Amino acid sequence: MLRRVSFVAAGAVIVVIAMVAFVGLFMLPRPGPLEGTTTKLHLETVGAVGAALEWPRSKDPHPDWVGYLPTTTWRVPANSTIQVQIDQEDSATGLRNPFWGKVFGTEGGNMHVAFFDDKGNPQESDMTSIDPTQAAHTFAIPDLGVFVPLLGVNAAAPANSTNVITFSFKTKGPGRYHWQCFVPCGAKTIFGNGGPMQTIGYMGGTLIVV
Amino acid sequence: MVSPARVSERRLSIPNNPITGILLAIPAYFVGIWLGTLFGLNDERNTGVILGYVFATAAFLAGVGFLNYPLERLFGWRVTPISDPDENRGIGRFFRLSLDHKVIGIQYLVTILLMLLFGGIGAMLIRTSLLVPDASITPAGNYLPLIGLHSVMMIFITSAVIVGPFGNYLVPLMIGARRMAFPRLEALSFWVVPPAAVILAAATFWGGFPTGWTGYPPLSEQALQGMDSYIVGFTLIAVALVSSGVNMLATIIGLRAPGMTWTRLPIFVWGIFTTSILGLLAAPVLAAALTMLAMDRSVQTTFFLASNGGSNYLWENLFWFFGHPEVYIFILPAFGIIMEIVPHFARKPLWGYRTGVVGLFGVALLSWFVWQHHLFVSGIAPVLRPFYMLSTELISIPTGIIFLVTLGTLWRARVWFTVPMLFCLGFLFNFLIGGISGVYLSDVPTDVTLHGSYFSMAHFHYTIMGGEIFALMAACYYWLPKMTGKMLSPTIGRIHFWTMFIAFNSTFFPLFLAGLLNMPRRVSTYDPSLVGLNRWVSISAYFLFASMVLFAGNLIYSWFFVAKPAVANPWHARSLEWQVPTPPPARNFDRVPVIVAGPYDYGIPNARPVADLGGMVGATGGG
Repeated sequence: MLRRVSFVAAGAVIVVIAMVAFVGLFMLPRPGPLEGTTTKLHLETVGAVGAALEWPRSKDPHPDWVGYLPTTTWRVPANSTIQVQIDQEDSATGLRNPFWGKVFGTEGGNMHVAFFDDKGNPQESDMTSIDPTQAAHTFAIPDLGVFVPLLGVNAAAPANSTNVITFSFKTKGPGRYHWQCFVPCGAKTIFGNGGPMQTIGYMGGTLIVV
Repeated sequence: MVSPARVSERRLSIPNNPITGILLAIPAYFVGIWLGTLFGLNDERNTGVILGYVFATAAFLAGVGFLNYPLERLFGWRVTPISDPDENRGIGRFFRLSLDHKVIGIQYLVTILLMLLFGGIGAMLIRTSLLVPDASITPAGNYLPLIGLHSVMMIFITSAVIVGPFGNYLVPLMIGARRMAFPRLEALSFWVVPPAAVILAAATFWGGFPTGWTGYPPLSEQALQGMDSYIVGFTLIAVALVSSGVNMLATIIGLRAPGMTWTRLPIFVWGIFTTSILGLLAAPVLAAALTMLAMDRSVQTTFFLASNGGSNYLWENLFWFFGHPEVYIFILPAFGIIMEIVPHFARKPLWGYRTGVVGLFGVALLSWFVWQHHLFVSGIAPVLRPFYMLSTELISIPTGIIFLVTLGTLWRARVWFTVPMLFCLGFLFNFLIGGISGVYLSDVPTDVTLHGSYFSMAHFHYTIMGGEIFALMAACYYWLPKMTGKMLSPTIGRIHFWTMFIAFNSTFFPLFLAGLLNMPRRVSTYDPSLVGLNRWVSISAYFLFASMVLFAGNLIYSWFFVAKPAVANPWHARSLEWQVPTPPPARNFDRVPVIVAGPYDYGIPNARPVADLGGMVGATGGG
């Protein structure tokens, strides 16, 4: 009797644990957070995460996907100013909605961009909007009202060059804010919205304000 | 069926069992992947994954033994005959291809209860992540696949949970037949379900799919390879629905015993009959739509891509043309169960038997004319809305007839409050709320407000969980003694009923309120002001899960530890399935029974026994 009880109970427990583990994989946030900087976020956007200049992900399951590097989960302090530097290496895809070419929600309502002009010469300036056809990605946290279009690297620029975009924004109270690139940049998927656009760790993630 | 002479000369080729099936399915899967990648139709390997699943399923079915009979007939090969009810009475018969409808019923029941556990764990994880208003437990990108996994697994279950176990087991017994009309088709309708469940669960390896159970394009076209699990798995369920439907219809029409006239047919069989009509006609539409979606995703057709000349309305119409009859596939057999069980415990004839049958057919017929009420806010021509609003509201009439038949049976009855009867009464309470909330949703003005909110989510959980699953529990407590030969503990059963009934209402009734307060479905975050409501619901949901664990505990306790043998007719019921010994013999009846009376003639003086069984040792009919 006791053997039977323990046998059936052990079997049931194993089945339940296996199912919980199997389904529960969805509960775990996969990419680890970017920490260590209290008020600075240094990010890199690339056309293929396997071929990034700063943080190449060689063992990524999708090395040819676009992505934010080194991770898309960012932890920042509450009620403080966050300085963001994005090293943008991808070329332009273009915005569906030209309105999104404008900068919103940053301090001063602008961003500082170091880029290459049509002749391949380095330039630097403060911008409040960009040509909507020249956007490569966007840095957008809707719940904080932050929206920054990222200028694509000019075709005339030298090889392996990077547009450096810097801006700052303020966080509110603690919470989790989903963010998402608003340029349908998932190449090879229908309308560009598949693949990296819908997978956490590439073109979407979480801003954790603590 | 194999005659004894043939058995003696049979040749063993390969052992046919699920292990062989799995061993064949694994290489077949990789052949499919390789072939799809070879053609290079799509760089994201959709073609490979779809072909892999299809090949693996075909190889699994071949390994289980479905090729034996065709090979024998086509080429005259001597291959192992599939097991026969007379040949194999051991426990092993449940683990291989069997043509015995009673074995298939048990196989179905166990498979579906395991799938129910899986889907239920998914529900618990959803409720756990909704304990907090932000997405801190489950990230937004992982919440939708979780919803998808829970919803599609539950849809798989509820499509088959009554017709599969109880339809297959009971229909031949109830109509006085020895088998189903097409035993191989019946076995096929079961053996595609485990691959469908495994393929669906395999979506997790590809990151799941974000569309829920409706699979709307363009999202379903953009989704990753997890979507292919949805496509192939759901197609297999459609195959099961069609094969089971045609088989049930042929059996009920063709194999009734002498004297089993249409008006003596147990009402549960009528429930299965109407369900089978719906399954037979609706599931092909789903299979066609899914095939088109698979082609869009693999060979670059554009059926559902508006930018290239297709239309995503096409999917919405095809899907809901299947989808709305599908929800009556869930509930019609449940109606059958309720109307079947209530007269036995009210000890009265079923009040308005013919009216009840008309009600079942009314629901089945009207279910074809309502599907666009799912599209009220999708931008359909507004002129269509009044028609679909009216047709949807009309469905409440035959449903009301079924309620009146049941309540008329209970009227002034001396009710025997057994556990199955308690679940029937619980069904009436829950389904009333579910049905009435459905009338609100069918009205265009309210639907425009409530569409996509927790109100509709609470509505369909009231009808499916509060309706169909309560009917399933009634059926389990009522018929499992016949099917397994062991009584289930009524004490645990009563505790199970009350915890389940209270926890169910405590879980889903507040969700109507959440819906009215604009909490949207399928979103991992919600307004922080609703956190108290959601925590209440989550904790109630844990109690609901605990009540289901109690049911599982009752099964294990009653089958393995107490094992109290059931008498042939513990409920003193009149209907035919209770007149045979428990568990029923391999051939059901010694000779074909002759039916001489209806199954519900309780309290009628000088009522004849229901059938002449030819001297078979059985129980006496109740009276």
